Amino acid sequence: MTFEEFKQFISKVGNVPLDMIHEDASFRDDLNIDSLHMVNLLIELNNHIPFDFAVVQDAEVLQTVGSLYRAVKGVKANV
Amino acid sequence: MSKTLFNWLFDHVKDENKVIVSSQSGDYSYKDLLAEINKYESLLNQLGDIKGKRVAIIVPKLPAFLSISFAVNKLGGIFVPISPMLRSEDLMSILDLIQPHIVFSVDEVNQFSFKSRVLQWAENKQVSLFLSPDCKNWNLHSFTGEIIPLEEEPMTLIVCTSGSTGVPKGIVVHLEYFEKMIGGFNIPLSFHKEDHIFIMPPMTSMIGLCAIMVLMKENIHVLTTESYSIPDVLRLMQNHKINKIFTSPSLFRAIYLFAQNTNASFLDYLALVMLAGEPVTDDFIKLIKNLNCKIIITYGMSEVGGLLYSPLDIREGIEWHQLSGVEYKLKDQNDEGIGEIAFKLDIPFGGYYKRPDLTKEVFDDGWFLSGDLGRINDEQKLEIVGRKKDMIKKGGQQIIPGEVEKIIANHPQVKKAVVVGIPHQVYGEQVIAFVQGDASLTKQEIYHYLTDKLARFKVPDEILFIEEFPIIQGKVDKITLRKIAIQKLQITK
Repeated sequence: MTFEEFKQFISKVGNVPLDMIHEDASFRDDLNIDSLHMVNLLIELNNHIPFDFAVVQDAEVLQTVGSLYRAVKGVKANV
Repeated sequence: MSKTLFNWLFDHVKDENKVIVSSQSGDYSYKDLLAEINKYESLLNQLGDIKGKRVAIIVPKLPAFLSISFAVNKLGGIFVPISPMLRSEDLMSILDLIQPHIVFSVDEVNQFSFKSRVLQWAENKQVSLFLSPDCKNWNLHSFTGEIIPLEEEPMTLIVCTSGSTGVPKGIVVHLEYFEKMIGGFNIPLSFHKEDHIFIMPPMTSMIGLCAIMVLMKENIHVLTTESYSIPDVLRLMQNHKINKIFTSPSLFRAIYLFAQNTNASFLDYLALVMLAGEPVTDDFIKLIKNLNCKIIITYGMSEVGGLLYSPLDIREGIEWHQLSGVEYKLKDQNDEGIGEIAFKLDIPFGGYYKRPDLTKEVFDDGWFLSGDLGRINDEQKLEIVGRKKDMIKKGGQQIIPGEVEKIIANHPQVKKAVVVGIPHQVYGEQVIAFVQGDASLTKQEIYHYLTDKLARFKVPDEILFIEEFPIIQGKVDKITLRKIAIQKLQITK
């Protein structure tokens, strides 16, 4: 999944305009995605590209679009 | 003055140093809380006598929230917890209904400025606002203008819920409610002094607040969360070796899915899960079939507290028993024996604040009409079969379709909006809005319009455009709309 596809996925599942989604966008503050919606997003994402939930255990990972993308892709560097 | 909630809780504390409440803010003993309560008493004393004054509390941090509530109660005021999840429209209608004399509010939550909304509301009214960026340091802003009359009727607090037409309702609560609820929690949870019980319903909800108070009264360590981010919740569970949890099926599903997909031992200490707030689905039972602890379900309503519980593990079935002092009957049964479940209690319903008309609608000759439908099954047991009201239950939160419909319909390009709930794997139920509007109107435009107007959980999960609404007996046919929604969403998937 490329970052572009990841953005489109979040836009669709989270009902957020695509142009608001960028690497530093905060799920909570910028995209208004609350915790229950976040769980739904992670479960949908896991159906789409299976990943180990252990990587998203840390609240920091769930902060921004970029940090979640990096965690599920298993990469540490910037996208 | 008659006994206060504060006296009820603090007069007979045996060990002041015992840690009694915990949250992400920290651990607090009775002694810590008493010190905080004193601090808030001093703040409130600046305003003179607060007897009969309503004090709204929009405070997301547990220690400050509890201490302000107790300080207000101790001084003879009426406290009104307000959810920090609210946004402009629902917040303003609650402030208009309650007309608080004093407001404690955090400045901002998730970039939504409560400060600016509360300041705006207070204009031209004689009110005092305590505002704080961190729920620790408070600044007093005093306004002059129209004098708000004092409350004449005695009451402990008012809890706010969304009303069925989108106009909020306040539930008047007296101390007796808490006294009665000791049994309501003790029977299903079987308290033990070594327990660490996690209460997941928000502390501003009647059920969440009541559970915290009852456990404090019974000297049981109670934990509650200030954040519903699942990693935050799991960390709290792990740090405190929680052995009992009171939650909704959808929140528990979220916790379980997370815990199950990690190696961490979040659920190792868990001995009992007590569910409430939503029906349990087959899907949920399947999910938790291997969980090694007892899982039970209870049934209650904010207005009157706990009513029924099932002592069986839900994996073995549900057998409703009444809690002590509760009677029930089925009203206006149809040919299949299905009728609305009505409850009679040994403490009366406190009524809806300033709405005797609404109180009369649900409280008929001492019987409280639940809005839920039930029947007596072949084994002569009560079975809950559905809801008479069309309230949606998403993630343990209640959503009144009328409220969401009204706000969408305010959009200049919308002709009519109808909101229904359909099943959802994570939320329990999801919110679907059917919208009839101009051809140029887009979903994104509606989502944009709803930002800041409604709490996030009330924002529709899907918006579907419709040319004509199906009508049955002169009303929009919501059953057909639900079927259309399920069909359309399955096709999209």
